[in-house]
Amino acid sequence: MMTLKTARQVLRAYRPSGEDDEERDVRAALKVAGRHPVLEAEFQNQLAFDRAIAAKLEANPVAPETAADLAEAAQRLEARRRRRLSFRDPAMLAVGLAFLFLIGVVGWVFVGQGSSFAGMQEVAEMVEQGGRVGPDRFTELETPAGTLADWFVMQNFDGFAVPPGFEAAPVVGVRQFKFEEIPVAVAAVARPRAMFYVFEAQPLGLTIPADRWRFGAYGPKGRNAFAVRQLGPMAFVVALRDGDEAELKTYLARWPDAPR
Amino acid sequence: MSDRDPWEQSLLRFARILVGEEAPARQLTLEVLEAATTRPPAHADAGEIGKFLYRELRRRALERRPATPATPATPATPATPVNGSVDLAPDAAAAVHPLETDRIEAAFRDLPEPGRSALALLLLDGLDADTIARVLGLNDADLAAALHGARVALHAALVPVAPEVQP
Repeated sequence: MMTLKTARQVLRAYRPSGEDDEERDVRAALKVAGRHPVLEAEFQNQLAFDRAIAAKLEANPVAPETAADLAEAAQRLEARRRRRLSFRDPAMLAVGLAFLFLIGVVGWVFVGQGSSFAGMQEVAEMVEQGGRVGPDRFTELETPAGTLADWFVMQNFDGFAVPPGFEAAPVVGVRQFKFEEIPVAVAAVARPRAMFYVFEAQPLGLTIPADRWRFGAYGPKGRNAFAVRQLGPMAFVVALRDGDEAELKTYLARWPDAPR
Repeated sequence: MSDRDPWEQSLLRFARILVGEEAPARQLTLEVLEAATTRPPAHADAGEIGKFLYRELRRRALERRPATPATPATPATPATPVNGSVDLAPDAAAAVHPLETDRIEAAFRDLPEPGRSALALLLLDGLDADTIARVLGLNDADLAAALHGARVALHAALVPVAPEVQP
């Protein structure tokens, strides 16, 4: 229970506007005053005096031009405070960090999973489809890969090309097929066993920066690797018949002039 | 801050009590608002800025104005002691009603600190006791004593010119 002394102390700091009425210590002090007529009279006297003083002082108006200048300065302060809060507010910080984390995760997934690039899944299916046929479906043709453009033109396939460094690759057979109505030129390379595929990049939505390889996997459990790069409007694919991405990178490094 | 006026006008009213005249009070209020905008306190939530504004305004005002007497004025009317303190005279409000605002402001300005600031923040700005205590650096007991002393002194200063107040 609140003592008389504490109640008096609390009530002496009571705001005459009544804004303190819901405060727990003020309610307790008012209860004490209700039981002590002297304190009650003292408090009512104080309240009347405070209200009279406040009413007199508030009657002195603020000049309109002063009020306008003060309002402008107050708005500048409030605007500055809000800008500071936008960076200091823990909620905003949490949102910012979460956003950065999301960007990081998306970037990691995007970069780390090559096959998630547009068209890579289709390339994997195309390579798998192309690799299922036997040697009897190939036309025997032993020639360096760099000489095949004319042969394919004769077969109504325009645009066959290999990247610099791959011209000397020893081709042993060639064929054409269609993947989702897209003409594909195929060259089988003897050592080591690999396939070169050339087709238009745009229908599969492939867009690969110049001189960059993009790697993917195909076959049972994604055991075999392929690599794609873009040569103008055409896509060039190297697919190992039996080898993972590490082996494919070793294979690519064997071509002395091939860009890395 | 008070909901009777925009808060910046409450700040001006506090400045009026501290420095007296309108022009310097206006200048001081604008200076303090500018200071809070350019060099805001570390924890810039509304409550902290409010305390900063009042503290800074009072600090600057006291620097520019001769210090008021440190001891409370003696009430003109002998009061009944209650628990060792001096009571506010009975029906004290009656002394206030017929007076002009200028007269009350002048009496208010002559009150000793920190009672003058405490009472101004309570009555004019509507600050709660905790906030006033923090602005003025007082504990609860000292704040209550300062407020009571300021009331008694203010009433004592007003009574001699209040013709209808009976001795």
